[in-house]
Amino acid sequence: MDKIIVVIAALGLIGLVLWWFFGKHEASSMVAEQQDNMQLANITVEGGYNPQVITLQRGIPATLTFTRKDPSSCLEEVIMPDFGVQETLPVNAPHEITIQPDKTGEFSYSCGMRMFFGKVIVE
Amino acid sequence: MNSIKNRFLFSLTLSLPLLYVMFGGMLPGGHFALFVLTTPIMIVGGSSFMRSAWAALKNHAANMDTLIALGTLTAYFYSIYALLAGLDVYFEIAALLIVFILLGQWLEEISRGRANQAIEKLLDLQAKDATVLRGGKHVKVPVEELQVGDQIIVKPGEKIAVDGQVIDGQSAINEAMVTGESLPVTKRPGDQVIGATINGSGTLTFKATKIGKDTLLAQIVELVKKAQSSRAPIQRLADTISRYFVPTVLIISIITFTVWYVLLGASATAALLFAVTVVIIACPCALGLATPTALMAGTGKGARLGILIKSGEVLEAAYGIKTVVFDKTGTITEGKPTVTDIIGDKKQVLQAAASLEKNSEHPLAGAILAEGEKHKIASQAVKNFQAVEGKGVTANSGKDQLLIGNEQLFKDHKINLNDLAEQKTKLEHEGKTVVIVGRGKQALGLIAIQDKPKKGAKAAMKLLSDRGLRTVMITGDNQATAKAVAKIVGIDEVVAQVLPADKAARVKELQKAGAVAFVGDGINDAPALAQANVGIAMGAGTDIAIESGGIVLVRNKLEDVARALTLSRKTFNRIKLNLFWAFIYNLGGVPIAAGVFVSFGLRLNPALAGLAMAFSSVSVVTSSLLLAKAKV
Repeated sequence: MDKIIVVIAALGLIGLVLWWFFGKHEASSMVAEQQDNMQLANITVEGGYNPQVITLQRGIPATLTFTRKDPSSCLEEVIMPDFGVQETLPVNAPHEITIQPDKTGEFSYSCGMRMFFGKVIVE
Repeated sequence: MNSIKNRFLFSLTLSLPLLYVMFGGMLPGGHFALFVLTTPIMIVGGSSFMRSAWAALKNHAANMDTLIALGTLTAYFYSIYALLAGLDVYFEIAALLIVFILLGQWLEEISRGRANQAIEKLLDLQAKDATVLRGGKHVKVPVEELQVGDQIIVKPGEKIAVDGQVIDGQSAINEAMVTGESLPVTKRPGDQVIGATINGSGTLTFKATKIGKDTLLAQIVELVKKAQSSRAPIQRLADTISRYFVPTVLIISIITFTVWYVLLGASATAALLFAVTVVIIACPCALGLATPTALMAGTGKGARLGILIKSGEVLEAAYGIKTVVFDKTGTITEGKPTVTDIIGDKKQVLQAAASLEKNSEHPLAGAILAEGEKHKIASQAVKNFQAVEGKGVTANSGKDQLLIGNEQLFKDHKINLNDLAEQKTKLEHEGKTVVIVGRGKQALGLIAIQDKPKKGAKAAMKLLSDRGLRTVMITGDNQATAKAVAKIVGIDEVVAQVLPADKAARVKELQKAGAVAFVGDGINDAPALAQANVGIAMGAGTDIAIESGGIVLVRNKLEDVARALTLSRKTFNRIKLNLFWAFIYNLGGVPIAAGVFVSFGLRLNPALAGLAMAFSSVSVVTSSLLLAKAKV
């Protein structure tokens, strides 16, 4: 009897894992705020990048302020290959990164170990 | 207590008695003592893993911390249950796991810091201040306040502050830190100096031409930064795997427990240990670190050698190169024609030639005039100067007519060349351009002019062919001259009579036989550099070279082409090795941890699995760091 329960529980857990990690979940997103010919966005780094998707206007320099609350060394660095950015984020201190969105498109960025991903959309 | 090092040392100290228990020792207080020792380790050493695992979980994401947290928490809470129920406890597993993983992270932190030093080292080279001439006085100002056009005085042993042009003085300058050139370079008025290089024993005054982010050093730093953050296409597979990695491991772990407990009839405790070991051994970090760390180490090493590799994509493209195409003028050759031979009476021939060429704008005229100056031969005044299209020039000096040009010109004037014709053919076979000089009705002699191949060109070509690469030279010269130069330096093939605008098209044709690297200076071959699979631009003194090449060679040396390709190959090989190791480690480790090989006596303690996991990512970083020692 307990074996049957274990099998059912295992199947349930597997289903839960699949649903939680691969199911459709809305990615948090925001449009950068414009101010004095600059675009500003705040990104909280905690178990990922929040909001995950930032929308920018083309041609206006953008300052992304990353605040890393997560001590994990996984999120220590942020790498944006399309903008030539590779910076170390201090814990619990806002860190500004200014990029120049010259081309439209979707540009993903990640942590140094490429486990967490965020995205910049330039319109 | 926040640093990884401190948390590691704290956890290590408390875990020593646990290690003693693991190897069969007994502690006073028994199981309860283990609980007391492990709990602080969980809180101080392990809480950061739990926190970030939880934060990631809320975002529907998972990482290494998820696995560590799940593994340690399972071992810890099961042990508390077992303690209360009077069963065997496994506190030491939870504690040692945290110790080992912190050790791994600490080592990784140290070595990654080392891999990251390339840019900081470059930035440290920057001079802090400079002595400037302002209002007739020497003033010391910070580098940031320098302006283009400032006259800067450099004393012996001082650093050159910014890029500029020497206006006074002479000195040997050590440029090794920026260009990788090991020998000091002598600078005289008119020569360019590079910021951050070190002056030798002379005193120089130079005019600042580039400041701030326009200097060569600043551009190199920017380029290396971009390269290190770039992505390599090979990484894509690893990225895809990373996305599915942790959830897959969780599922395998659930299956492991179920199979052991339900099908194989193991006890719940034994099944749980297998499941925990699976979670612990899996290491997504090794996969994620494989490419970026090698890319960083490889491009960093390149920067120290004056070889700037712009991105991971370039690196990967360089790996498959079969053919290296060189632009001739300025790349294989010096780019400056000089007189190599004079046949006939040297003084007479040069005097006649120099008198004629003084008024000419022909590219070869400069070479003849320079040779005349070298031998201190004064030119004579001429009148009735006439350029004969495609043949040469004539003019009158006194009552004599002077001529310089090709055979056709002399034929027209009915002047016999006698044995000069034969000598002319001989010189032409050596790849030289030969002009005939005449006075009155007589041919005085010959002047042979050549754009000489660079020193070391032959050795550089040999390096490339030793590596099995086909070398091709592309040039606007005629076939005979081009072939002769190719023969001297040992180039396999020649594509001659190509107009500058057609170079890219010819590169495209060559690409049909395999990937092509094009080596040029960027001046009239930027389209060819772009067309090639890898564009290698020589001489980073020019902005255009920095712009147009995928690889930029700071020193103007041909041997660096082979070094750049070797470095790319080695770096890419290292990436492949790292990825292979990371795959194999996980592919082999997970089944062992799940107990697939238990019937062969292969059973893994969960704490040891933690050690293996910690060292798999350390080994990837170390492997990348070893690139710095690779010979190129």
